Amino acid sequence: MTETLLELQHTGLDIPVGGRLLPVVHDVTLTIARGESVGLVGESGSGKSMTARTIMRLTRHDWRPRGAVRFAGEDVLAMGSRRLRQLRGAEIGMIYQDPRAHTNPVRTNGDSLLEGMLAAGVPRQEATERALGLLASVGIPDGVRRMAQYPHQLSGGLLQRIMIAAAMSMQPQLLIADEPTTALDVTTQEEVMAIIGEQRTERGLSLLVITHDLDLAAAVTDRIAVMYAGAVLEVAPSRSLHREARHPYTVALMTSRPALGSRRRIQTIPGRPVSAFEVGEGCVFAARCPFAVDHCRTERPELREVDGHQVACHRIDEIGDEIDALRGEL
Amino acid sequence: MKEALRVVGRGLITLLVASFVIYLALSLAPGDPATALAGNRATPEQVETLRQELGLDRPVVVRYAAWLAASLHGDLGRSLQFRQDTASLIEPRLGVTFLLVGYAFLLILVFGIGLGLLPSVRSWLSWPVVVVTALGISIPAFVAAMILIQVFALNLGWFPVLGTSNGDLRDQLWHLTLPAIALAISWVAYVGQITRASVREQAGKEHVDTARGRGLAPRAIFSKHVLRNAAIPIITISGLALAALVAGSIVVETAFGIGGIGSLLVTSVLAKDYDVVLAISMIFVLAFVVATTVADLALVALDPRLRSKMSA
Amino acid sequence: MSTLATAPHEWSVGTLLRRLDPVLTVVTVVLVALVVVAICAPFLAPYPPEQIDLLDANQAPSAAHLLGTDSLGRDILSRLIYGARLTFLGPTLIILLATIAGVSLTISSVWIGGTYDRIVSRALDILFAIPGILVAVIAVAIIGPGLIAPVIALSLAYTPYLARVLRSVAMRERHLAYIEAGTLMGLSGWAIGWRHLVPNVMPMVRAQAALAFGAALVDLAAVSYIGLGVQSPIPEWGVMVAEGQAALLNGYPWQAISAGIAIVVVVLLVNVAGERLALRLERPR
Repeated sequence: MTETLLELQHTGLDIPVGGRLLPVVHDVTLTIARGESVGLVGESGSGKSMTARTIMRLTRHDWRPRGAVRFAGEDVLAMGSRRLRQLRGAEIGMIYQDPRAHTNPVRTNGDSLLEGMLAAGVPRQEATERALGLLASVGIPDGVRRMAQYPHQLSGGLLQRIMIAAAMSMQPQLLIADEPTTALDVTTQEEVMAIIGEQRTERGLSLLVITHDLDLAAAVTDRIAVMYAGAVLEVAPSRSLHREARHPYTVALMTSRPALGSRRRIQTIPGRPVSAFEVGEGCVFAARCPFAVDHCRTERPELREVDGHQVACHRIDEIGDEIDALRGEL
Repeated sequence: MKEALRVVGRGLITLLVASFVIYLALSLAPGDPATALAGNRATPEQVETLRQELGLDRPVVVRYAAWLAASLHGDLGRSLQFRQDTASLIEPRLGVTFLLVGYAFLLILVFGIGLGLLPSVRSWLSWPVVVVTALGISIPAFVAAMILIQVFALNLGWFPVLGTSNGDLRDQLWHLTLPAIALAISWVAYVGQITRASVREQAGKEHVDTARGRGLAPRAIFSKHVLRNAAIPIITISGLALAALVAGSIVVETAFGIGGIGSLLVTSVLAKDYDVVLAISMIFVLAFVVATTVADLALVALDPRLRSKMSA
Repeated sequence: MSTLATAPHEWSVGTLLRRLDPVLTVVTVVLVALVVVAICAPFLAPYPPEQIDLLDANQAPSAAHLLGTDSLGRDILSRLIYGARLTFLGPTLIILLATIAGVSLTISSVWIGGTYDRIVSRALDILFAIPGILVAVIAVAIIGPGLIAPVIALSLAYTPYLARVLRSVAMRERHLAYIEAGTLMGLSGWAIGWRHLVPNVMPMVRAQAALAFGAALVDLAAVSYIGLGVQSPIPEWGVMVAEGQAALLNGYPWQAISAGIAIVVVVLLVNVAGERLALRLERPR
């Protein structure tokens, strides 16, 4: 668990809007070890998916990534297009929130399943055999029939399984799952997550799960990074995040969730969630943070180690008691 | 296969109803064919006999059925204007019109789709293509004809001013070049616009990102995920274009003095030569229905969503 | 990016100007100006449009005749200005009639549904299968040459075109909450149709009507050009191109080219206006 596979350092992404470059991701610092599963959690619009796109360089030509993205020690942002095509698929696989939108409706499922392997030079015969094996392993026994069908003939859950099989077909070291179950109905959600989990243990895969669902993240990951307005505010072991959250935002997030069997009132975070391009120089949460002081609004805090968590907060040492008090309500 | 049969069936019904409506409409035209045929010196009794012979006293549905049956045997009635069999009048002109329409359609496919694809090859061409297609759409065929005749026939002398050729195919095509351009120009622009728009739309689709994420090369992504999907609207528009070109021949043949069925229709309308008007109108509707039906069939072949319903 | 949008209470001259589409504004102003010129033709045209002066025939543009004269010595600019009247009037009537027919047929068939809807839809499909110019030519064969036959025919031919575009919008609106709420409140179908459905499809109607206007103008001018529409010596731009063609072949292109360019310019302006109106629908404020 010690060898680092993916390393993001102060990674950011700027997108041109109306002639200006606007940041959609400010500052993400995160590592994933080989075989490790990490969750990237945040509200919609916090920049989770854009971070995933940056990792795979699935960006448009006029988008500007910043900072460093290293995969197995190699700088992804410096890769040429040929090297990048090898990285995509063969080293990092990705599955998406909406499998239907992410599948070409006029090509057969077999075409989608094989195209990555064929592009990488795998002979068609071998690719087909591998695909059938993979389909069986994701719970699709009648692979031959399914491969001849078109996406509209399949349910969302089946389609997502095919997406997983397609991602696995190139034997990547890292799988990025971008909200893999949000578009599916509840019963299929669990099945799909179970399949992802199986694939991970079988292959010693590293996993980056992007989700807005804290419980889901806690269930399938070793560590969780909490993102807000384009920046990672806290990274903590999944098991202890819930009880030992440190950052004022994370704590607020925990107290704003309903829990089964609990009678406490749900607390809401004052103010409205902001987008990455709306925050100024300082801490991205400063505008809504009850503990914010002038310093928080002028300088962005870096992640630092606090009791086994990484927390980006200037006042983390001073506000320990208040945080404990807030968390006490949980 | 089932969907293909449905498309063909729909085409046949459209053809039948449209042809009946046209027959009905033209039967409302003032003037009596019997009086016209019998000539000035005929007595009322003679006219009445002729009317019965022609079946003009029967209901319009019966007359339509008779006309349909006769026309299927190649009997399209008689031209009053030319005192000739309508079928033999139309037949030699049909080839010229089809050659003109085919030529223009080829221009539309090559230059329309080509123009629409330019921005995806060189992104700086996007803006010029928008301007050129917006202008092109606004140029009616008969205005294009004036400009082309002035510039390429009168000033430069590269092409003949008017008329058709009786020579070999090469000479015919040389004569038909300016007419075909005039006929095609606004549709080249329109198909270009649709092509550009649908390629842009498809290139922004999420499944294209999936393909990129699988390490496909840009060329493969463009042909298998962008162009393949954009082909669907492009073919629909091309089918409409082909159908509209047939009708457009009415104007362009008149402008360039080409002896096809389009210009014959105009002279026949002015001469109140109803059998000829009826026959040519039907040929146009037939061509129109065939063009749209072929385009619909192509769509069924290209879009699996039209072929089968959810079966999982 | 919704956060960038201005809240409704922050209206000011500045936001109003930003919300106005500058291209649409300019194009509309130019088109309105052209219509005003056409209406005020007797005051603006330098010569009577039918004033023949054989000694002054086929003149190139000069100070006396800004666009030259035709083969009968008539002033081309004056004929263009007068000709704008029928050239604009025809398509206006066509679009007006086709819009009324298209909107009523669509709203009623979407609302009533069932067999009525199927019959209307099939009938419109079949009408759609007959090209507009052919409908116009057949109408002339029945009624005779002039403006009336092609205007009626093209109104018919453009009805399915407008109805088709509207149908998708109306189908969507029909199932929206406010319509269903109206049904629950006991409003009659027609009340809902005319009071709620119609205002909500109007922006779409405007955009499509503008685009159809350009096409109708071209079709109508083409019918006149082939000699089946407006008859010479009445000035109309299609007729002017036809009359000008003989002169053009003899080396006097002024009439055909200037009438042709006038058509292209107006159609281009109308098309741009239509595209802009359609664009506004895609990006609601």
